[in-house]
Amino acid sequence: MSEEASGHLAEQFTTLEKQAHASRLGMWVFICTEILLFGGLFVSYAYYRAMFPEEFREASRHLKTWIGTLNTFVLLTSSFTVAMSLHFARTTRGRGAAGLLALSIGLALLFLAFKGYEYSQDFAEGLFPGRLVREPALRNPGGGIFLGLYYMMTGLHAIHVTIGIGVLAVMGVLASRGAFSAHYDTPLELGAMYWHLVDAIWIFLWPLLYLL
Amino acid sequence: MPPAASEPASPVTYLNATRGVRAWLLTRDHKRIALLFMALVTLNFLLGGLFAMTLRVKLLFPGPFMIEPITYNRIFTLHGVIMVWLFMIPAIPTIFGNFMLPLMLGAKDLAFPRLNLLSFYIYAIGSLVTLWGMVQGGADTGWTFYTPYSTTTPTQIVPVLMGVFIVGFSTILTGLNFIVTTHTLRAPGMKWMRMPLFVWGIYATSVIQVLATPVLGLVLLLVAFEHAFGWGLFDPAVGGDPLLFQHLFWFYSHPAVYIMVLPSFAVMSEVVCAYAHKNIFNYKAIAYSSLGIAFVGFFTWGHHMFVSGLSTFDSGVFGVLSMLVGIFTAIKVFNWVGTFYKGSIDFRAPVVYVLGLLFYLVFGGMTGIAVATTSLDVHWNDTYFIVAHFHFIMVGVTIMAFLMGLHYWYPKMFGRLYPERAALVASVVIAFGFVATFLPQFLLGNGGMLRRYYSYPEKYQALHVLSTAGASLLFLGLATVLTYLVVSLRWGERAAHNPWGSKGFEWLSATPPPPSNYEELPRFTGEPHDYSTTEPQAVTEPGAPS
Amino acid sequence: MGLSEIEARASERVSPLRYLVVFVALVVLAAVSFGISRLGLGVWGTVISLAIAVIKATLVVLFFMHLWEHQGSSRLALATAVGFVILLMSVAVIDVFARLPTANSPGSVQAKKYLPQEGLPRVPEPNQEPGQMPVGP
Repeated sequence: MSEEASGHLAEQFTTLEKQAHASRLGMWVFICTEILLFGGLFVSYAYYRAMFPEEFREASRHLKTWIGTLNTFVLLTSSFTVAMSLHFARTTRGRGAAGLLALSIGLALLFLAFKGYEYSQDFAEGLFPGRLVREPALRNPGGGIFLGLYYMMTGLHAIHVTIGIGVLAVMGVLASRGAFSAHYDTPLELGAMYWHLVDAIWIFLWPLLYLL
Repeated sequence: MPPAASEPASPVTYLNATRGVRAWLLTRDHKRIALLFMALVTLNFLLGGLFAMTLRVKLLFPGPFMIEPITYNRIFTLHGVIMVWLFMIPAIPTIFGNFMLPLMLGAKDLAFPRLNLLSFYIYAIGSLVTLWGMVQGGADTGWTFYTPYSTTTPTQIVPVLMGVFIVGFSTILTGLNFIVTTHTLRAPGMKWMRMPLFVWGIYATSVIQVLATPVLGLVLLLVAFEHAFGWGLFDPAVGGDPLLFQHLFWFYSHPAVYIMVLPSFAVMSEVVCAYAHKNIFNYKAIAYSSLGIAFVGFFTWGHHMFVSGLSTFDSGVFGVLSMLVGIFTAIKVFNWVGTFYKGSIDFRAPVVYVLGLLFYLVFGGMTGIAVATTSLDVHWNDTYFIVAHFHFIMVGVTIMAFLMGLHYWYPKMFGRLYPERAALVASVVIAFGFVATFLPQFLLGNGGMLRRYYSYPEKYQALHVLSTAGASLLFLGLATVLTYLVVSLRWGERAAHNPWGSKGFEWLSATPPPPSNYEELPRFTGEPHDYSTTEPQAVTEPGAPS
Repeated sequence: MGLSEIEARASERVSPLRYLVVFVALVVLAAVSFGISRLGLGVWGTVISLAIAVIKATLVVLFFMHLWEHQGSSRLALATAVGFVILLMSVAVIDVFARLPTANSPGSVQAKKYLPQEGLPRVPEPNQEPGQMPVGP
């Protein structure tokens, strides 16, 4: 997060390690804000599920579980490749890291592609959010709410995936130029942490929306 | 110790080190960023205050006067939105927190200077978006945006919601920066229990900012979506529940009032020690009570929902917890009084603000305990009693502390002195103006006058007139302060290095500080606010890493 | 040795095998979760699925995000954030069950016990005004 022209160490830090530590702490604090952001949606989900358990179950059956499950494995794999890319960056100065990051981006794009296809199928079946729902079996109070939450939660998540792709792309370019090493890998580490957060959020979204 | 300086030399300070618009607008220096915030925050304060005066003038008469009812609704909404999000939440942290934190910790800057600048620009953009919403007509829902009205109102609520949403990011980034700075940039010798009490208060505030604001962001987003697309997440006809909005909104907004008040307590601790020339009565009590407020403050949000249909179980629990959180504030009040007692008091304008703050905090805080009682709040809720309660704290405590800080740190920031006599007069005018404005409102509320009402029965007019008279006095006092502070920037007497003889760590650096704060990082050896010894508080070690 | 040095040394020692093991565990747990959901175990199914999700997220946080090696304040921050989400969720959901049943949304499990079944609100047509009751059967 803090680079100066004469190297990576900013003037307010005395050593590079302290700076990296501060950057990591900063990223963890930021991750906490994301947890609270999505947490509000999870709270809304729990709240309405307590009111409409049957309608939520019924509505969940109308979602494309196979796409959700496929996307889960895609995202888990991308998380693994990102973790490996960080490891490569620390040990082999980055060429392998760039390749793994490219792979991760590919998987992320696959995630978005599946998601987009899923949305188009949902719309085709009349699964619109809230009041706008057309599917007759879900035209009851709880069904519309479930779909509204489904689109908010997966939509917000998809926005974060998109931002994550941008972050990983920048990291990939830096890695291919050999910017990272055992001594300096902070931007990649932070970017990887962001990507794992995106994965962790989906780990909760998937069962809540598709399996229960 | 004479406050004014005798040397005419003009050393390199953060103010004159580099010149030009770009050097200021693209600065990474936390001190310059503090001044950028100061300019915008003050403008927003003026706007919010203008709206307040408009309301008070309208309320001189019980029937229609000067403005339409819907305009009145828009004005009190915008008054609340601007004062809460564009003034009180940023003010002390972004101005004094930004300026003083690195100085107090012995650091050259915050942990993430560029993030700090970004935070300023996000605040600026958020302010502009909110302003644009205002110009388009603004919202009329009250600053609390309760559904289902906020999701169905015909007014321009979405820009206002988005403006607040954007400013929320600024709050989060500032809080993040302060937290990491406090953890990682303390100079050698600066243990946690050696940090100035101002830092503890700002740190506790930052924790709240970081944890609570995202929930606000989410709920405003949900309201904006529902207003724009009609999904119905809060519409009972579709199964939605307005109470969910209230749970989410108040989960943020109650801790938000502690975001507004903890920095005030932080400033108060510094000022009390400095002007009494005495150690704080009990350091750990103040430090831990700041954390206590931050933590327990998250458990009390339901007291805003006593009459909304909250279950009696929840109401009971929230009532008890809301009283509990008052204990931490009481600990601070006793501490400050104990510090002042037998202190060697240098009676200047900040001391008037200290006394005012103590009085208003006790009064406002006790009424807070009173309304935490569900059975009483049922009668007082949505009356002027509540309005008076929170204005006693928001204006009586926060604004007093803001003014206190402005005067105490004025020489530090600008190297000049403000005119003491004018300051004393203005502070007294403000103190009395404040009481005249808001004390009658307790009586109004207890007598049945409801809040957010455009017109009212004649029997309330006398108290309303008194309140408006007080507001005019308050406005006059604040205008005077603004005037002499601005004038003194250029024509004020040059200040000595430490005009108040304060033992605050920030006074170890030059006045005003150079761009990098300290040429050599200090190693702290003394305790903060320690007036019991004449030993030096820190030694400087040239170029020493830890 | 300061905190930052401890973290720097720790991350140098991690072998890539650890990431592979964690990844395999995540995939297996996901498969188990999927299988359990097909069994239709009712409330227990929900509990188990959420428990598995918590375990998976913990693995990601500890090992992919290196919280295992990062120390102190980061862990406290994370625990606090998660704790506050649980706090808000618990209080809000308890409120749903503890409040007057008909104070819940029409059509909810709580309200349905006290309101007649016919004439229950249905989702209005998309072109209807918000807040308007739906018409028709």
